[in-house]
Amino acid sequence: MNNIKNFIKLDYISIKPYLTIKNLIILLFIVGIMSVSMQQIFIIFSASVLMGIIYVSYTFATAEINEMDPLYLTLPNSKKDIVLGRYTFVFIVMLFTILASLILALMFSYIIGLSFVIKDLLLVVFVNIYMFLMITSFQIPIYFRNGYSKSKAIALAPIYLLSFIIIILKKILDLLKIDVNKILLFVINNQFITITTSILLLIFIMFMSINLSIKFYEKREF
Amino acid sequence: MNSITINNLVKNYEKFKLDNVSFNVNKGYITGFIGPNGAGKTTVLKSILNLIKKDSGDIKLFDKDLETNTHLLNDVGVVLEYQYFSNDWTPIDVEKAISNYYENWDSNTYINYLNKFNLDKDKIIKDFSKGMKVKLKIACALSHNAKLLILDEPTSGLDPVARDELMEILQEYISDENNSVLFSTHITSDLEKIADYIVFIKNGKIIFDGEKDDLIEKYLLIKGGLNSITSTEKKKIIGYREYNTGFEGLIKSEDKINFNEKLIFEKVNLDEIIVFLNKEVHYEQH
Repeated sequence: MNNIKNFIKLDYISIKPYLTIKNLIILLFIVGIMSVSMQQIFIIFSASVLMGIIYVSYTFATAEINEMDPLYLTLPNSKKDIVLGRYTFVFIVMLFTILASLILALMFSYIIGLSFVIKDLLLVVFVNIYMFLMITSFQIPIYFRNGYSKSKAIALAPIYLLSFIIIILKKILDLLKIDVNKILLFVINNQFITITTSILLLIFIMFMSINLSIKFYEKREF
Repeated sequence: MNSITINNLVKNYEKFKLDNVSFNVNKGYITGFIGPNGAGKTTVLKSILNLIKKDSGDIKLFDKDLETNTHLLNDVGVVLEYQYFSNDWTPIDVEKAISNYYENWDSNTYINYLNKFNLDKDKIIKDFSKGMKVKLKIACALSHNAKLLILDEPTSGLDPVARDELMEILQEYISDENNSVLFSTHITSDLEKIADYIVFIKNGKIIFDGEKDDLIEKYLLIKGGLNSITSTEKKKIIGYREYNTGFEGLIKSEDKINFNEKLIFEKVNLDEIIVFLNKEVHYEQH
Protein backbone atom coordinates (compact mmCIF):
# COMPACT_ATOMS: atom_id res chain seq x y z
CA MET A 1 0.00 0.00 0.00
CA ASN A 2 2.85 2.36 0.89
CA ASN A 3 4.50 1.78 -2.47
CA ILE A 4 1.24 2.58 -4.27
CA LYS A 5 1.08 5.84 -2.29
CA ASN A 6 4.71 6.57 -3.18
CA PHE A 7 4.05 5.95 -6.84
CA ILE A 8 1.04 8.30 -6.84
CA LYS A 9 3.35 10.99 -5.46
CA LEU A 10 5.97 10.20 -8.09
CA ASP A 11 3.35 10.45 -10.84
CA TYR A 12 2.07 13.74 -9.46
CA ILE A 13 5.59 15.20 -9.40
CA SER A 14 6.06 13.97 -12.98
CA ILE A 15 3.04 15.81 -14.39
CA LYS A 16 3.23 18.80 -12.03
CA PRO A 17 5.22 20.88 -14.56
CA TYR A 18 2.26 20.59 -16.95
CA LEU A 19 -0.29 21.77 -14.40
CA THR A 20 0.20 25.37 -15.38
CA ILE A 21 -1.94 28.49 -15.10
CA LYS A 22 -1.68 28.76 -18.90
CA ASN A 23 -3.38 25.36 -19.33
CA LEU A 24 -6.06 26.33 -16.82
CA ILE A 25 -6.77 29.59 -18.71
CA ILE A 26 -7.01 27.66 -22.01
CA LEU A 27 -9.51 25.24 -20.41
CA LEU A 28 -11.56 28.09 -18.91
CA PHE A 29 -11.55 29.93 -22.24
CA ILE A 30 -12.69 26.86 -24.21
CA VAL A 31 -15.44 25.84 -21.79
CA GLY A 32 -16.53 29.50 -21.44
CA ILE A 33 -16.93 29.93 -25.21
CA MET A 34 -18.66 26.55 -25.59
CA SER A 35 -21.04 27.11 -22.69
CA VAL A 36 -22.10 30.55 -23.94
CA SER A 37 -22.44 29.58 -27.60
CA MET A 38 -24.33 26.36 -26.85
CA GLN A 39 -26.21 27.78 -23.86
CA GLN A 40 -25.22 24.55 -22.11
CA ILE A 41 -23.02 24.29 -19.04
CA PHE A 42 -22.71 20.50 -19.02
CA ILE A 43 -20.24 20.76 -21.88
CA ILE A 44 -17.75 21.74 -19.15
CA PHE A 45 -17.70 18.13 -17.96
CA SER A 46 -16.81 16.70 -21.38
CA ALA A 47 -14.06 19.29 -21.91
CA SER A 48 -12.59 18.65 -18.44
CA VAL A 49 -12.77 14.88 -18.86
CA LEU A 50 -10.90 15.19 -22.15
CA MET A 51 -8.27 17.33 -20.40
CA GLY A 52 -8.04 14.75 -17.57
CA ILE A 53 -7.51 11.94 -20.07
CA ILE A 54 -4.74 13.96 -21.72
CA TYR A 55 -3.06 14.43 -18.31
CA VAL A 56 -3.24 10.68 -17.72
CA SER A 57 -1.35 10.13 -20.96
CA TYR A 58 1.31 12.64 -19.79
CA THR A 59 2.38 10.18 -17.07
CA PHE A 60 3.28 7.65 -19.76
CA ALA A 61 4.73 10.27 -22.11
CA THR A 62 6.98 11.75 -19.40
CA ALA A 63 8.13 8.30 -18.33
CA GLU A 64 9.04 7.39 -21.88
CA ILE A 65 10.71 10.64 -22.91
CA ASN A 66 12.83 10.71 -19.75
CA GLU A 67 13.49 6.94 -19.62
CA MET A 68 11.92 6.73 -16.19
CA ASP A 69 10.74 3.12 -16.26
CA PRO A 70 14.20 1.90 -15.21
CA LEU A 71 13.96 4.36 -12.30
CA TYR A 72 10.59 2.91 -11.24
CA LEU A 73 12.03 -0.61 -11.41
CA THR A 74 15.16 0.12 -9.42
CA LEU A 75 13.13 1.59 -6.58
CA PRO A 76 12.10 -0.94 -3.93
CA ASN A 77 8.72 -1.78 -5.39
CA SER A 78 7.23 -4.40 -7.69
CA LYS A 79 5.85 -4.00 -11.20
CA LYS A 80 2.42 -4.71 -9.74
CA ASP A 81 2.84 -1.78 -7.32
CA ILE A 82 3.73 0.46 -10.28
CA VAL A 83 0.64 -0.57 -12.25
CA LEU A 84 -1.70 -0.28 -9.25
CA GLY A 85 -0.14 3.08 -8.36
CA ARG A 86 -0.76 4.36 -11.89
CA TYR A 87 -4.41 3.22 -11.83
CA THR A 88 -4.98 4.83 -8.43
CA PHE A 89 -3.43 8.02 -9.75
CA VAL A 90 -5.78 7.90 -12.76
CA PHE A 91 -8.72 7.45 -10.41
CA ILE A 92 -7.59 10.50 -8.41
CA VAL A 93 -7.26 12.52 -11.64
CA MET A 94 -10.81 11.46 -12.51
CA LEU A 95 -12.14 12.58 -9.10
CA PHE A 96 -10.29 15.88 -9.38
CA THR A 97 -11.58 16.40 -12.94
CA ILE A 98 -15.21 15.81 -11.92
CA LEU A 99 -14.85 18.03 -8.85
CA ALA A 100 -13.25 20.82 -10.92
CA SER A 101 -16.02 20.44 -13.53
CA LEU A 102 -18.67 20.76 -10.83
CA ILE A 103 -17.11 23.95 -9.48
CA LEU A 104 -16.72 25.37 -13.00
CA ALA A 105 -20.31 24.42 -13.91
CA LEU A 106 -21.67 26.18 -10.83
CA MET A 107 -19.46 29.19 -11.54
CA PHE A 108 -20.51 29.45 -15.20
CA SER A 109 -24.17 28.82 -14.39
CA TYR A 110 -24.01 31.82 -12.02
CA ILE A 111 -22.06 34.05 -14.48
CA ILE A 112 -24.01 33.15 -17.64
CA GLY A 113 -27.27 32.79 -15.82
CA LEU A 114 -28.07 29.27 -17.02
CA SER A 115 -30.08 27.07 -14.70
CA PHE A 116 -29.99 23.27 -14.57
CA VAL A 117 -31.89 20.40 -13.01
CA ILE A 118 -30.03 18.49 -10.29
CA LYS A 119 -31.16 15.15 -11.71
CA ASP A 120 -29.63 16.10 -15.08
CA LEU A 121 -26.43 17.16 -13.35
CA LEU A 122 -26.17 13.80 -11.57
CA LEU A 123 -26.70 11.98 -14.85
CA VAL A 124 -23.99 14.07 -16.54
CA VAL A 125 -21.58 13.38 -13.65
CA PHE A 126 -22.30 9.65 -13.88
CA VAL A 127 -21.87 9.55 -17.67
CA ASN A 128 -18.61 11.52 -17.54
CA ILE A 129 -17.12 9.37 -14.78
CA TYR A 130 -18.16 6.36 -16.83
CA MET A 131 -16.60 7.69 -20.02
CA PHE A 132 -13.37 8.70 -18.26
CA LEU A 133 -12.89 5.29 -16.66
CA MET A 134 -13.92 3.36 -19.77
CA ILE A 135 -11.56 5.26 -22.07
CA THR A 136 -8.59 5.11 -19.67
CA SER A 137 -9.27 1.42 -18.96
CA PHE A 138 -8.86 0.83 -22.66
CA GLN A 139 -5.82 3.08 -23.07
CA ILE A 140 -3.66 2.17 -20.06
CA PRO A 141 -2.96 -1.49 -20.93
CA ILE A 142 -1.87 -0.37 -24.42
CA TYR A 143 0.50 2.19 -22.91
CA PHE A 144 1.91 -0.41 -20.52
CA ARG A 145 2.36 -2.86 -23.36
CA ASN A 146 3.95 -0.69 -26.03
CA GLY A 147 4.97 2.54 -24.32
CA TYR A 148 3.51 5.95 -25.11
CA SER A 149 4.86 6.81 -28.57
CA LYS A 150 3.93 3.47 -30.13
CA SER A 151 0.43 3.65 -28.62
CA LYS A 152 -0.53 7.27 -29.29
CA ALA A 153 -2.67 6.54 -32.35
CA ILE A 154 -4.22 3.33 -31.01
CA ALA A 155 -5.04 5.00 -27.67
CA LEU A 156 -7.47 7.32 -29.46
CA ALA A 157 -9.38 4.29 -30.70
CA PRO A 158 -12.01 4.26 -27.91
CA ILE A 159 -13.23 7.67 -29.05
CA TYR A 160 -13.56 6.50 -32.68
CA LEU A 161 -14.78 3.11 -31.52
CA LEU A 162 -17.63 4.71 -29.60
CA SER A 163 -18.87 6.59 -32.67
CA PHE A 164 -18.46 3.41 -34.72
CA ILE A 165 -20.42 1.32 -32.20
CA ILE A 166 -23.24 3.90 -32.15
CA ILE A 167 -23.45 3.87 -35.98
CA ILE A 168 -23.39 0.07 -36.17
CA LEU A 169 -25.91 -0.25 -33.36
CA LYS A 170 -28.23 2.19 -35.14
CA LYS A 171 -27.92 0.17 -38.37
CA ILE A 172 -28.67 -3.11 -36.55
CA LEU A 173 -31.69 -1.60 -34.82
CA ASP A 174 -32.92 -0.27 -38.17
CA LEU A 175 -32.43 -3.65 -39.78
CA LEU A 176 -34.27 -5.43 -37.01
CA LYS A 177 -36.89 -2.69 -37.10
CA ILE A 178 -36.51 -2.03 -33.41
CA ASP A 179 -37.67 1.39 -32.27
CA VAL A 180 -34.83 3.28 -30.49
CA ASN A 181 -37.40 5.18 -28.48
CA LYS A 182 -38.61 1.90 -26.99
CA ILE A 183 -35.09 1.15 -25.79
CA LEU A 184 -34.70 4.64 -24.37
CA LEU A 185 -38.06 4.24 -22.68
CA PHE A 186 -36.89 0.96 -21.19
CA VAL A 187 -33.74 2.66 -19.90
CA ILE A 188 -35.77 5.50 -18.38
CA ASN A 189 -38.29 3.14 -16.81
CA ASN A 190 -35.65 0.76 -15.52
CA GLN A 191 -32.99 3.14 -14.28
CA PHE A 192 -31.84 0.90 -11.45
CA ILE A 193 -31.21 -2.08 -13.74
CA THR A 194 -29.51 0.12 -16.35
CA ILE A 195 -27.21 1.82 -13.85
CA THR A 196 -26.38 -1.43 -12.01
CA THR A 197 -25.59 -3.21 -15.29
CA SER A 198 -23.44 -0.30 -16.47
CA ILE A 199 -21.51 -0.20 -13.19
CA LEU A 200 -20.97 -3.98 -13.23
CA LEU A 201 -19.73 -3.75 -16.83
CA LEU A 202 -17.37 -0.91 -15.90
CA ILE A 203 -16.02 -2.85 -12.90
CA PHE A 204 -15.45 -5.88 -15.10
CA ILE A 205 -13.65 -3.83 -17.77
CA MET A 206 -11.51 -2.07 -15.15
CA PHE A 207 -10.64 -5.41 -13.55
CA MET A 208 -9.61 -6.79 -16.94
CA SER A 209 -7.69 -3.60 -17.72
CA ILE A 210 -5.66 -3.75 -14.49
CA ASN A 211 -4.86 -7.43 -14.94
CA LEU A 212 -3.82 -6.95 -18.54
CA SER A 213 -1.62 -3.99 -17.58
CA ILE A 214 0.13 -6.04 -14.89
CA LYS A 215 0.66 -8.88 -17.37
CA PHE A 216 1.97 -6.55 -20.09
CA TYR A 217 4.26 -4.60 -17.76
CA GLU A 218 5.69 -7.83 -16.31
CA LYS A 219 6.78 -8.72 -19.84
CA ARG A 220 8.29 -5.34 -20.72
CA GLU A 221 12.08 -5.06 -20.86
CA PHE A 222 14.04 -1.84 -20.50
CA MET B 1 27.65 -13.94 1.99
CA ASN B 2 28.02 -12.54 -1.53
CA SER B 3 26.27 -9.32 -2.44
CA ILE B 4 25.58 -10.69 -5.92
CA THR B 5 25.71 -14.31 -7.05
CA ILE B 6 25.19 -15.11 -10.70
CA ASN B 7 25.10 -18.70 -11.94
CA ASN B 8 24.83 -19.73 -15.59
CA LEU B 9 22.95 -16.63 -16.70
CA VAL B 10 21.70 -16.97 -20.26
CA LYS B 11 19.97 -14.29 -22.28
CA ASN B 12 19.41 -14.74 -25.99
CA TYR B 13 18.98 -11.98 -28.52
CA GLU B 14 18.87 -12.32 -32.26
CA LYS B 15 22.49 -11.34 -32.73
CA PHE B 16 23.91 -11.64 -29.23
CA LYS B 17 23.90 -14.09 -26.37
CA LEU B 18 24.91 -13.98 -22.72
CA ASP B 19 26.48 -17.39 -22.52
CA ASN B 20 26.34 -19.05 -19.08
CA VAL B 21 27.61 -15.99 -17.24
CA SER B 22 28.66 -16.78 -13.69
CA PHE B 23 30.44 -14.61 -11.15
CA ASN B 24 30.10 -13.22 -7.65
CA VAL B 25 30.42 -9.77 -6.17
CA ASN B 26 32.07 -10.24 -2.81
CA LYS B 27 30.95 -8.31 0.20
CA GLY B 28 33.43 -5.65 1.28
CA TYR B 29 35.11 -5.26 -2.12
CA ILE B 30 34.94 -3.31 -5.36
CA THR B 31 34.45 -5.49 -8.40
CA GLY B 32 35.29 -3.93 -11.74
CA PHE B 33 33.24 -5.16 -14.65
CA ILE B 34 35.14 -4.65 -17.88
CA GLY B 35 34.92 -5.60 -21.50
CA PRO B 36 34.74 -3.99 -24.92
CA ASN B 37 31.63 -2.29 -26.27
CA GLY B 38 28.80 -4.72 -26.88
CA ALA B 39 30.41 -7.43 -24.75
CA GLY B 40 27.32 -7.74 -22.56
CA LYS B 41 28.15 -5.63 -19.49
CA THR B 42 24.93 -3.61 -19.48
CA THR B 43 22.86 -6.70 -20.32
CA VAL B 44 24.27 -8.43 -17.24
CA LEU B 45 23.58 -5.38 -15.05
CA LYS B 46 20.03 -5.12 -16.40
CA SER B 47 19.51 -8.82 -15.69
CA ILE B 48 20.73 -8.38 -12.12
CA LEU B 49 18.24 -5.55 -11.63
CA ASN B 50 15.44 -7.44 -13.36
CA LEU B 51 15.08 -4.78 -16.06
CA ILE B 52 15.25 -7.59 -18.60
CA LYS B 53 14.08 -11.18 -18.25
CA LYS B 54 16.77 -13.82 -18.21
CA ASP B 55 16.21 -16.92 -20.32
CA SER B 56 17.80 -19.17 -17.73
CA GLY B 57 20.21 -19.13 -14.84
CA ASP B 58 20.15 -17.90 -11.31
CA ILE B 59 20.74 -14.41 -9.94
CA LYS B 60 20.76 -13.67 -6.23
CA LEU B 61 21.08 -10.37 -4.40
CA PHE B 62 22.23 -10.87 -0.81
CA ASP B 63 21.47 -14.59 -1.32
CA LYS B 64 17.84 -13.87 -2.24
CA ASP B 65 15.90 -13.72 -5.46
CA LEU B 66 15.09 -10.12 -6.42
CA GLU B 67 12.00 -11.08 -8.44
CA THR B 68 10.19 -12.13 -5.29
CA ASN B 69 12.00 -9.79 -2.88
CA THR B 70 11.88 -6.31 -4.42
CA HIS B 71 12.39 -4.78 -0.95
CA LEU B 72 16.06 -5.83 -1.38
CA LEU B 73 16.43 -2.75 -3.60
CA ASN B 74 16.31 -0.72 -0.40
CA ASP B 75 19.94 -1.75 0.02
CA VAL B 76 21.00 -1.17 -3.57
CA GLY B 77 22.18 2.12 -5.04
CA VAL B 78 22.00 2.20 -8.81
CA VAL B 79 23.58 4.37 -11.48
CA LEU B 80 22.56 3.35 -14.98
CA GLU B 81 23.06 5.05 -18.31
CA TYR B 82 19.39 6.04 -18.62
CA GLN B 83 18.09 9.58 -18.38
CA TYR B 84 16.23 8.34 -15.27
CA PHE B 85 14.74 11.61 -13.95
CA SER B 86 12.29 13.97 -15.61
CA ASN B 87 14.00 16.87 -17.36
CA ASP B 88 11.52 19.21 -15.69
CA TRP B 89 12.54 18.15 -12.18
CA THR B 90 14.98 19.90 -9.90
CA PRO B 91 17.18 17.90 -7.49
CA ILE B 92 14.62 18.83 -4.81
CA ASP B 93 11.86 17.22 -6.92
CA VAL B 94 14.05 14.14 -7.33
CA GLU B 95 14.27 13.82 -3.56
CA LYS B 96 10.52 14.31 -3.17
CA ALA B 97 9.86 11.68 -5.83
CA ILE B 98 12.10 8.89 -4.58
CA SER B 99 12.97 9.45 -0.92
CA ASN B 100 9.75 7.91 0.42
CA TYR B 101 10.61 4.62 -1.20
CA TYR B 102 13.72 4.15 0.89
CA GLU B 103 13.58 3.13 4.53
CA ASN B 104 16.97 4.73 5.18
CA TRP B 105 16.87 7.83 2.99
CA ASP B 106 19.08 10.50 4.53
CA SER B 107 18.18 13.98 3.39
CA ASN B 108 21.32 15.52 4.93
CA THR B 109 23.56 13.11 3.06
CA TYR B 110 21.74 13.95 -0.18
CA ILE B 111 22.10 17.69 0.31
CA ASN B 112 25.78 17.22 1.26
CA TYR B 113 26.43 15.36 -1.98
CA LEU B 114 24.59 18.01 -3.99
CA ASN B 115 26.85 20.62 -2.39
CA LYS B 116 29.95 18.48 -2.84
CA PHE B 117 29.15 18.04 -6.55
CA ASN B 118 28.20 21.72 -6.94
CA LEU B 119 24.68 20.85 -8.07
CA ASP B 120 22.15 23.65 -7.66
CA LYS B 121 19.19 22.06 -5.90
CA ASP B 122 16.73 24.46 -7.53
CA LYS B 123 17.97 24.18 -11.11
CA ILE B 124 15.97 22.03 -13.53
CA ILE B 125 17.71 18.92 -14.82
CA LYS B 126 17.18 20.03 -18.43
CA ASP B 127 19.87 22.64 -17.79
CA PHE B 128 22.35 20.14 -16.32
CA SER B 129 25.35 18.94 -18.30
CA LYS B 130 25.84 15.20 -18.86
CA GLY B 131 28.37 15.09 -16.03
CA MET B 132 26.01 16.90 -13.66
CA LYS B 133 23.24 14.39 -14.43
CA VAL B 134 25.62 11.54 -13.59
CA LYS B 135 26.58 13.27 -10.34
CA LEU B 136 22.90 13.61 -9.42
CA LYS B 137 22.38 9.89 -9.95
CA ILE B 138 25.45 9.16 -7.83
CA ALA B 139 24.13 11.45 -5.07
CA CYS B 140 20.83 9.51 -5.05
CA ALA B 141 22.59 6.13 -5.06
CA LEU B 142 24.65 7.15 -2.04
CA SER B 143 21.90 8.76 0.02
CA HIS B 144 19.95 5.78 1.32
CA ASN B 145 22.64 3.77 3.09
CA ALA B 146 22.81 1.18 0.34
CA LYS B 147 24.90 -1.91 1.02
CA LEU B 148 25.57 -2.49 -2.65
CA LEU B 149 26.26 -0.06 -5.47
CA ILE B 150 25.65 -1.15 -9.06
CA LEU B 151 27.28 1.43 -11.30
CA ASP B 152 27.13 1.31 -15.07
CA GLU B 153 29.73 3.62 -16.59
CA PRO B 154 29.43 6.12 -13.74
CA THR B 155 32.54 8.00 -14.79
CA SER B 156 31.50 8.62 -18.38
CA GLY B 157 30.84 12.32 -18.80
CA LEU B 158 32.77 13.22 -15.65
CA ASP B 159 35.85 15.41 -15.84
CA PRO B 160 39.08 14.06 -14.30
CA VAL B 161 38.54 16.01 -11.07
CA ALA B 162 35.02 14.63 -10.61
CA ARG B 163 36.23 11.13 -11.50
CA ASP B 164 38.92 11.35 -8.87
CA GLU B 165 36.36 12.63 -6.39
CA LEU B 166 34.09 9.66 -7.15
CA MET B 167 37.00 7.23 -6.66
CA GLU B 168 37.63 8.75 -3.25
CA ILE B 169 33.94 8.48 -2.35
CA LEU B 170 33.89 4.81 -3.39
CA GLN B 171 37.04 4.08 -1.41
CA GLU B 172 35.49 5.67 1.64
CA TYR B 173 32.24 3.79 0.99
CA ILE B 174 34.01 0.45 0.80
CA SER B 175 35.84 1.08 4.08
CA ASP B 176 32.64 -0.28 5.64
CA GLU B 177 33.16 -4.00 5.15
CA ASN B 178 29.42 -4.58 4.75
CA ASN B 179 29.37 -2.56 1.54
CA SER B 180 30.26 -3.66 -1.95
CA VAL B 181 30.43 -2.19 -5.43
CA LEU B 182 29.96 -3.58 -8.92
CA PHE B 183 31.45 -1.02 -11.25
CA SER B 184 31.25 -1.31 -15.01
CA THR B 185 33.45 1.03 -17.00
CA HIS B 186 35.44 1.60 -20.13
CA ILE B 187 37.82 3.89 -18.27
CA THR B 188 39.90 1.15 -16.73
CA SER B 189 42.41 3.53 -15.16
CA ASP B 190 39.68 4.20 -12.57
CA LEU B 191 39.53 0.51 -11.74
CA GLU B 192 43.32 0.23 -11.54
CA LYS B 193 43.11 2.61 -8.61
CA ILE B 194 40.28 1.09 -6.63
CA ALA B 195 39.09 -2.33 -7.83
CA ASP B 196 39.87 -5.45 -5.83
CA TYR B 197 38.35 -7.90 -8.28
CA ILE B 198 37.87 -7.84 -12.03
CA VAL B 199 35.26 -9.59 -14.11
CA PHE B 200 36.11 -9.48 -17.79
CA ILE B 201 33.36 -10.19 -20.29
CA LYS B 202 33.79 -10.62 -24.03
CA ASN B 203 31.15 -11.62 -26.58
CA GLY B 204 28.76 -12.51 -23.77
CA LYS B 205 31.21 -14.86 -22.04
CA ILE B 206 33.18 -14.30 -18.88
CA ILE B 207 36.85 -14.75 -19.74
CA PHE B 208 38.31 -13.69 -16.42
CA ASP B 209 36.90 -13.53 -12.92
CA GLY B 210 39.35 -12.98 -10.13
CA GLU B 211 41.61 -10.57 -8.28
CA LYS B 212 42.73 -7.54 -10.26
CA ASP B 213 46.40 -8.20 -9.51
CA ASP B 214 46.09 -11.77 -10.77
CA LEU B 215 44.71 -10.50 -14.08
CA ILE B 216 47.48 -7.95 -14.46
CA GLU B 217 50.13 -10.53 -13.52
CA LYS B 218 48.62 -13.10 -15.85
CA TYR B 219 49.73 -11.19 -18.94
CA LEU B 220 52.81 -9.36 -20.20
CA LEU B 221 53.22 -6.82 -22.95
CA ILE B 222 55.80 -7.97 -25.47
CA LYS B 223 57.64 -5.61 -27.84
CA GLY B 224 60.55 -5.75 -30.21
CA GLY B 225 61.96 -5.12 -33.63
CA LEU B 226 60.39 -6.78 -36.64
CA ASN B 227 63.41 -8.99 -37.19
CA SER B 228 63.87 -9.95 -33.57
CA ILE B 229 60.99 -12.43 -33.43
CA THR B 230 60.53 -15.82 -35.05
CA SER B 231 57.32 -16.95 -36.69
CA THR B 232 56.88 -19.66 -34.01
CA GLU B 233 57.04 -16.96 -31.37
CA LYS B 234 54.59 -14.75 -33.26
CA LYS B 235 51.99 -17.53 -33.11
CA LYS B 236 51.98 -17.37 -29.32
CA ILE B 237 51.17 -13.65 -29.25
CA ILE B 238 47.65 -12.42 -28.53
CA GLY B 239 46.59 -9.42 -30.63
CA TYR B 240 49.91 -9.22 -32.46
CA ARG B 241 50.30 -5.94 -34.33
CA GLU B 242 53.14 -4.62 -36.43
CA TYR B 243 54.39 -1.08 -36.88
CA ASN B 244 57.10 0.35 -39.13
CA THR B 245 59.56 0.15 -36.28
CA GLY B 246 58.53 -3.06 -34.63
CA PHE B 247 55.70 -5.04 -33.13
CA GLU B 248 53.77 -5.40 -29.90
CA GLY B 249 51.32 -7.86 -28.43
CA LEU B 250 50.19 -9.66 -25.33
CA ILE B 251 51.46 -12.93 -23.98
CA LYS B 252 50.60 -15.05 -20.98
CA SER B 253 53.25 -14.53 -18.32
CA GLU B 254 53.82 -18.28 -18.11
CA ASP B 255 54.75 -18.28 -21.82
CA LYS B 256 57.62 -15.84 -21.32
CA ILE B 257 60.17 -18.65 -21.26
CA ASN B 258 59.24 -19.53 -24.82
CA PHE B 259 60.47 -16.18 -26.17
CA ASN B 260 63.99 -15.06 -26.90
CA GLU B 261 65.76 -12.70 -24.53
CA LYS B 262 66.17 -9.88 -27.06
CA LEU B 263 62.49 -9.04 -26.76
CA ILE B 264 61.15 -6.51 -24.29
CA PHE B 265 58.62 -7.62 -21.67
CA GLU B 266 56.58 -5.03 -19.77
CA LYS B 267 53.80 -5.04 -17.21
CA VAL B 268 50.39 -4.48 -18.79
CA ASN B 269 47.54 -2.33 -17.61
CA LEU B 270 43.84 -3.18 -17.79
CA ASP B 271 43.33 -1.03 -20.88
CA GLU B 272 45.99 -2.94 -22.79
CA ILE B 273 44.55 -6.26 -21.66
CA ILE B 274 41.11 -5.25 -22.97
CA VAL B 275 42.52 -3.98 -26.26
CA PHE B 276 44.66 -7.05 -26.96
CA LEU B 277 42.18 -9.64 -25.73
CA ASN B 278 39.48 -7.96 -27.74
CA LYS B 279 41.57 -8.42 -30.86
CA GLU B 280 42.50 -11.90 -29.68
CA VAL B 281 43.87 -12.63 -33.10
CA HIS B 282 46.92 -14.79 -33.01
CA TYR B 283 49.51 -14.31 -35.69
CA GLU B 284 48.49 -17.32 -37.76
CA GLN B 285 45.05 -15.84 -38.26
CA HIS B 286 46.38 -12.67 -39.93
